[in-house]
Amino acid sequence: MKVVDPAERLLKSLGVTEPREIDLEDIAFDQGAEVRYCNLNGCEADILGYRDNAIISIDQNRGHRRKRFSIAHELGHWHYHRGKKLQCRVEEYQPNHKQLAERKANGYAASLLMPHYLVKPRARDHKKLTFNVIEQFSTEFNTSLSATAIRLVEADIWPCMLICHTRQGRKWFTQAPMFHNRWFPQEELDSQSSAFDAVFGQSEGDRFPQIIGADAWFDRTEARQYEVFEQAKRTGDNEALVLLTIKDNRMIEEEPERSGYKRW
Amino acid sequence: MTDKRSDERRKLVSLADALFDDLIAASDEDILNEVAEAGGDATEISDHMRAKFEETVIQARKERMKAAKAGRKAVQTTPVVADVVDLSVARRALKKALKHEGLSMAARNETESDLTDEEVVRKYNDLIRLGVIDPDKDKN
Repeated sequence: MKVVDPAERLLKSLGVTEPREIDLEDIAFDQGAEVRYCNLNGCEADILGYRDNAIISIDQNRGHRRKRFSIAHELGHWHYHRGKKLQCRVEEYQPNHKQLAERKANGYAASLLMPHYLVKPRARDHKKLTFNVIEQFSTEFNTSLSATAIRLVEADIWPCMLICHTRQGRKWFTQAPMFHNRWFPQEELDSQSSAFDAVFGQSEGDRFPQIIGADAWFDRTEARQYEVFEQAKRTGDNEALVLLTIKDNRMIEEEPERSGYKRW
Repeated sequence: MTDKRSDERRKLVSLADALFDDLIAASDEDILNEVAEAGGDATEISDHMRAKFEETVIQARKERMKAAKAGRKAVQTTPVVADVVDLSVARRALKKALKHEGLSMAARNETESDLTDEEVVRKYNDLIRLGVIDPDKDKN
């Protein structure tokens, strides 16, 4: 049986058919929660609720898209963790948060801000995923670049992977489910990668995807026979997002030795 | 004049009822045959009706969002006046309230001892608004 995403179900029940209709304060009100902007110390948002009513406090000093994410995240707690007391800190949206409760609230936020039923039909109009496409979605859905990139990659429309790198190494990564999970990106950046200059130098990243040997990204013997498209984008001080897209469909097929092909 | 119009209207309603009864009594096959005899395309008609129905459902759902917007704006126009409170009273009340069964909370800190004075006042007033704290009771 298909599991209906609760955030998407809520949006549909409110007749949301366009991204601009995702008004989080109105949605919160419908759910019995009032959103209030104030100065918060050491956190971006919190929620207090009792019975069917809640008050969501948002740090007024954050950017507009961060505030939207925080409201959606707290609505996720309101949906999943009603009647519970959680220690929570809204952080930059990353795939696979360590704490289950935070992961659930983040997942709810992602669905509320970028529901698949609005994202996928638009995404299918694009042959390839690039940062240019991600920026278009980010503007249309009013979401941060990284959250938008994660959502689009995980939509499983293009065979791609998204990696966040800092000077300390790989911070996180996520991939389209179709991108075979034997491809695990290396911890350290290869100096051949254009992301290297975005993280350690002054480069803002690539305007267009570049071709690079897959072995710059994957520590597998098999990687030497493939090339991938790489596009880096500087996202902060010493931090960059890298979008990898496969060039050769064999990379998303079964592992050669497992499917009985002769190993090269 | 008025009586004549009412009479005509009654006849029309009776005719509509009779047609509706016929429609309900007819089998799917009979209806499809009738549509075909009249030169209509049953698939086109059903697609058109489905689209109309879906549009009506979406519009009805949008009304819920409109109601939420109107409700929120109405609440916004009512300013919330925060009570000036004795901090020690607020901290004591908050400590007790945060243990309240059924309270939902997702925050940086779970206990009142970790909160700044500003946060204590904010949460104290919020808990009054939510009906968890009764200020009159806590003052005594």
